[in-house]
Amino acid sequence: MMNCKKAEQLIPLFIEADLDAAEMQQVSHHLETCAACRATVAEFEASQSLLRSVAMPAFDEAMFVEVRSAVMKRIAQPATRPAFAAWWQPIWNWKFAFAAAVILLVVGVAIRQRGGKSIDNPVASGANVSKSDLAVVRKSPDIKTPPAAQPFQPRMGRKHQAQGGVRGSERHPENSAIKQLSPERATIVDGQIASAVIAPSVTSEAVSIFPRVDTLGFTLPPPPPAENAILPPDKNTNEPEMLRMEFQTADPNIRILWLTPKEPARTTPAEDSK
Amino acid sequence: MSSNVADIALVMEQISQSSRYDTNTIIERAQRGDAVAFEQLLLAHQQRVMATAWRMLGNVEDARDAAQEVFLRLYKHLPKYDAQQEFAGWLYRIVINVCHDVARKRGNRYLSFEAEQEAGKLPILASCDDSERAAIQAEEQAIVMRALSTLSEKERAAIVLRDLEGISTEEVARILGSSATTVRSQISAARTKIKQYRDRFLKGGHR
Repeated sequence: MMNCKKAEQLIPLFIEADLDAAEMQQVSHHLETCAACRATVAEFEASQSLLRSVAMPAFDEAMFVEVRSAVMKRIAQPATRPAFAAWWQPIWNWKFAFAAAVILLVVGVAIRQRGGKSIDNPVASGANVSKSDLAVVRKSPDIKTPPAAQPFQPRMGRKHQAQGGVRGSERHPENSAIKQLSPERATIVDGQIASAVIAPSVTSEAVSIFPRVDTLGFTLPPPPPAENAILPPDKNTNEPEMLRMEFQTADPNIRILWLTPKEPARTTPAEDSK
Repeated sequence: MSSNVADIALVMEQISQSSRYDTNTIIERAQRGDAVAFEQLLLAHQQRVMATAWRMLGNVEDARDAAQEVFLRLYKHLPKYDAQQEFAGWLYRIVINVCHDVARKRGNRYLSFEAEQEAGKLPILASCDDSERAAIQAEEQAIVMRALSTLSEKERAAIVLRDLEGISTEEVARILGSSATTVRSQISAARTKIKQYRDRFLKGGHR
């Protein structure tokens, strides 16, 4: 004979006939003689009735159309997706992107510091160039102030100047776009260039292609007059002619500078005679 | 009279067999990549998928997202579907898995019926013939919603499939990938919790 404790355990299943036949019969027999358990059954039945009374919202047909069209559109696409994208997608996430960015930054700084050692100018000794260093460079007696009326010309580093370097933009009219930069932009260029003296070497390229670390955290000082950035032309040189290219990135504090020896211009005998 | 009943039963059986045959044909065509057949499958099951997802998640927006994901997974896994299985049960399994994923993505936020109710999206049952009865019914619905929100993930899946979708305990066990005994235990616990919640609410004098 089943007692109330056992019956109470089975009643939640008894009310929806979720017990096997033997258990169903045992509970039924118990209920015939136990008013308290019959009351419990009545409460469970009311609770079940309440559970089923929850009305669902009427789903809009337009929503089904939207879902179906979205699904059909998606399943029409997978054939065009390259296989590597399917492999790449699961591992691509923000953590991965952050890690990649940190690695790139560390590699960039390492290359820059390595490049700085090969340059004996202290101003160019790596990423720790401060605002005051920039000021020193600007005030250096090596940098001569040009006439105020002259348009902006990008400045070369002191070492390059000492070696009698010739700016590519001076000799090549095709670089005249650089000369037409506004004073504000010219100043930014000044700040970027003044942080590292560029020598015509591989390391100078490495320095120039990575943004300066110390410019990432602060804004460059207010732009000095454009003429401070102008160096006097120095045409008495035997150093190879340099080609200089500058690219302004979306960040106004970051400008990519590329300096490379330029191959001698091929001239025809007729031009030489002129 | 008895011959008429037998005829009707025979016709009903033929319709049922024909419907099953049609469903299997559509599934086979969809498995071979027939987009029209696949869309027919969506049309045939969208209401059921949406309803189950809403009962699991408790709001229309999440249910819609879940339904979309269910159909995408259906398309992905359809080639692996074995025709010996019951298709509806196989589809329910996808629905439950997707709903668990959606709920986890939302920070295990299951069943936000209350927001639906406040937004007026839940209809009052048509049998309400006076405002007092309607108010009582709305209150009762709120009790059920809150009670459902207290259930665990597995209890909720079991109670939705068994008591709201009307699937047998053995089939629920197959869908959830567990034993019938485990499912009975989950259903029993869920029914008890809902009843206890209702009892507490009624004894609290809210009604």
